[in-house]
Amino acid sequence: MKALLIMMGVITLSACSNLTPKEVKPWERGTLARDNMKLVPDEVHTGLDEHIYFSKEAASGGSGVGGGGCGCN
Amino acid sequence: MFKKLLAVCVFGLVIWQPSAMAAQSISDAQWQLPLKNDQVSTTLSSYKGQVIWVDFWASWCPPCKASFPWLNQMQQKYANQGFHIVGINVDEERADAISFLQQVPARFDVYFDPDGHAPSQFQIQGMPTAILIDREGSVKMFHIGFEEHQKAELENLIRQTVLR
Repeated sequence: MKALLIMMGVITLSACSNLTPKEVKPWERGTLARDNMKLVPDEVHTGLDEHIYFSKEAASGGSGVGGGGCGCN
Repeated sequence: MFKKLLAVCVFGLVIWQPSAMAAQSISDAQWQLPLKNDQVSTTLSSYKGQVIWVDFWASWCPPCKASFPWLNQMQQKYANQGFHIVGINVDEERADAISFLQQVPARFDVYFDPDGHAPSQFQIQGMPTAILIDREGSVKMFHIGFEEHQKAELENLIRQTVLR
């Protein structure tokens, strides 16, 4: 029984070894370079959103822009 | 202990050369690299004896786009002195490369390598990468990226290599 459990454990762990992330080579970055892979896919839309947060909720920063929400800029 | 550590560090610095590739020659495996496009199927060795600028590029790489007009100019200027630009496209989708070439036509030989054999063989670290090979098959330059201010320096290297 113990041996069976150990064997099952080893098989499970070896299956996990396939889950190690594959390194993306410099010539394989085509998909990552697509516009819709950007953190901010639409600069204008994000700018408008940020303006609404700032003007209606007095909140700024936190999305990669200058300022950490201190209200001093 | 500290002295030993220091000695190891110094030894490491001595043997470490950032541009080690620049002094190397093209290996047999690299010469036999298959180059394919719709019309031609050849190997890099078909350019042996010429000054070769191997340019790895991709449609998604903005500096590649910026480099093409300059590469066309260089190819035209130094063609009579045995200078050949070999463009190797690494896009997985041929259509992306074709659309790029329609926007920025290449007046030099372009081959397609969607499986990445060639960049893997040359251990490319970034896009674009240019490798300048002289007539004897020695690597004279291994250059990553392309910026406007580098044009003069790069052309100087081409000129020195073709005139040798």
